[in-house]
Amino acid sequence: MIYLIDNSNNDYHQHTITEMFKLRFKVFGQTLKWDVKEKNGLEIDDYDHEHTNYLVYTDSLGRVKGCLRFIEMVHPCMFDGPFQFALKNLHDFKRKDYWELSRLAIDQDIDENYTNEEMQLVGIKLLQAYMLFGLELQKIECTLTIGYPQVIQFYKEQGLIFESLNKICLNAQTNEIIEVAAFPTLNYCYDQYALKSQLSSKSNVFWYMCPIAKEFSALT
Amino acid sequence: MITYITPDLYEQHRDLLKQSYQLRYRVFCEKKQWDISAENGQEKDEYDEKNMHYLIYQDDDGIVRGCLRFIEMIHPCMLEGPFNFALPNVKDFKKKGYWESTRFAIEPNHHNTNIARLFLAKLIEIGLSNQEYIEGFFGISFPSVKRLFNKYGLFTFDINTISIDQDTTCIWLFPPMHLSLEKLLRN
Repeated sequence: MIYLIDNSNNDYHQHTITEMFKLRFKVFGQTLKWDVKEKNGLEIDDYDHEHTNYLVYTDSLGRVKGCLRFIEMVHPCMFDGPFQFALKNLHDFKRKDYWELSRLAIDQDIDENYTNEEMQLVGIKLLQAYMLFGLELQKIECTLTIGYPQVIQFYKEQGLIFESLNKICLNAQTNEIIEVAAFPTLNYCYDQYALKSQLSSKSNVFWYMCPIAKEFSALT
Repeated sequence: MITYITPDLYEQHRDLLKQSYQLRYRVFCEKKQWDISAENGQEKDEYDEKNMHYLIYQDDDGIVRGCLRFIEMIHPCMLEGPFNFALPNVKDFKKKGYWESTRFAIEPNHHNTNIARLFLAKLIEIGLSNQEYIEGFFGISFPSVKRLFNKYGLFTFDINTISIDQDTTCIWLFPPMHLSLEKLLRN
């Protein structure tokens, strides 16, 4: 199940949010050994703020196994901060309907309730949910993201249409390269991901807790 | 002046369309010497005037100096005809919202160097205005043309690169984006 969490409903998802920050520390701090902020085993930074949205994937036992966050670029985002060197024409993208996607994390620890097959689809399902958000809930003209080229290439091969905007070498010795890429929100891309995830019904792609009705509702 | 001709307006703009076919003949048959069908000094093919939309630029004397055409890909189009090797998964784009833009012609050596920029801005504007449902336009051109359009401010997404008669040709998509429109109008 994928939950859409934003400022209006995060009160209802405190446990899920905490588990998400734990997963982020596990993936980015412990596995990838990025120099991220950590407190009590949680990875939280300056861009987890009131304008930040999350999609969080849980397995059949309700355990958080994947997440991503996205911020409309009119608000503070990573391109303003740690990645301000990554995009020369950042001001072009600091506008309504242009979003930054970051912190895509997938738990690699599989077990009998979270199989390798399921794990392979977590990123696809999260991005499918993100595109549905961009197509039907909030207009997203373009998304900017930063990632390792091989990760961007993987999602491109699954059907996202990326345009590379920049490539930066972070560490010449280890040849650590990151890529800045943009992708539009297109029904074509959504359909490609829906084929891969086998989630054809839009009403099952993610769930959103409506804070007024105080009940979960499917997208449609 | 740019005139936008939708399928219901072909007869109303018969003379403009005829002039645009003549311009295409001058550009594609005479100057570029493409191997395409032409008759009576006009370049017109089986895709013309069948659900096709046109943008036509006239100078101050009313003479047609630039044109392009675009069609929603639910209809027969060049990407499933003569260019069917350019987009291997063309069937995935045979749906509402995806358009093909072709036959972009500008009078050789014409003094108004802004015609291409105005055409691109007009395309984006049509997409953003919801006059038509447009998620993206496909363009097919030499890389130099795409680079020029990028320089003008058009934000494009590369789809494929192929070789036609030993010339590198690229296929790219440009969604209607406010970023593109502002830059095209500002530059």
